[in-house]
Amino acid sequence: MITTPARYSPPWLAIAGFLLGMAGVAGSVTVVFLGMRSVLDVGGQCASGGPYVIAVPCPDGTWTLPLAVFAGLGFVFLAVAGGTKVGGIYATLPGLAWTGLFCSLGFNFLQWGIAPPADPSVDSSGGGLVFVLLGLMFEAMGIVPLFTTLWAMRPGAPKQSFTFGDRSFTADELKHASDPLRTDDSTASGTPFETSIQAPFAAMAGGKNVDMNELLSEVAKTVAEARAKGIVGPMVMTPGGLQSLAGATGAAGGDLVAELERLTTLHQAGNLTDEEFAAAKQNLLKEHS
Amino acid sequence: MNIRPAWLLILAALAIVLGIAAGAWVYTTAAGG
Repeated sequence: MITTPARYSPPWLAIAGFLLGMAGVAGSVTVVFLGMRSVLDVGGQCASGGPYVIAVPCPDGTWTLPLAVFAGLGFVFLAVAGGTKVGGIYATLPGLAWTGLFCSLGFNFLQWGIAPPADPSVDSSGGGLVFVLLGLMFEAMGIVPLFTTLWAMRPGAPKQSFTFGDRSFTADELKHASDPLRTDDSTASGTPFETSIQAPFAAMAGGKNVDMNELLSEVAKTVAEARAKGIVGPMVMTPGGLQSLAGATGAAGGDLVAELERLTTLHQAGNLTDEEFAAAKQNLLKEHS
Repeated sequence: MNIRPAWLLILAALAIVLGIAAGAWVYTTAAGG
């Protein structure tokens, strides 16, 4: 069955993963933020468990901190995977996690460095200027990538593009260039059939400005015609049209007898007319001479 | 051809807000608050 992509339909699973990832990242950052505040409240260091005498026991709930870090990494992965599939700015949006994490933790450092809310009985040595500097460093780490990203996304910013031959494609065009028209048809003749269209092939489509969907349905039509003529196996798009990859490899150094047998089989099966068979045989012999 | 549904941005913002609320709830619950 040759299938062409109808129209773009939202990738629901990717959207769900993206949203879950974003929520999870936000939650994880929040836990780390709150956990850090309570640890700063007891002086910035604490311990729990182990064989040693503990000077400053950790506040309840501190165990969620390392957990949130690992969960956060997982959620970031989920958000990036989903966002990339959705495309556009959604691939970039999970990057906000970086800014969110560093800016919120930097805020904690600054607050405890400038005006610590902790009670004075707690030893908070190591605060003060060091905390202020740490805070400034964290804020810078959070803010700088945010601005460079926003700057790259400003309206009128040069779009990143990829060039194949004399055509260039935006990242979005490429993303959809490779997914459709991948079909495995073993129903009719028992011949596995797979065609994949990729950007370089699109670049070969004559160098004209083409709509990806139009191009793909054009190719699907050509594939159907080729199939009706008995060309089977993987195919490749060339400037001269659709070529059987099997034929190409056969000519490159394959077995002439096997190729002839294949042609004969196709002929006998009625997939090739007498004229087509004769022409194909001529070509084959010419290629091998 | 690419649909960029603006509603996904709104949903993403909502997800972030919900995530923050959930994180705060998880932490305060764990802290016994």
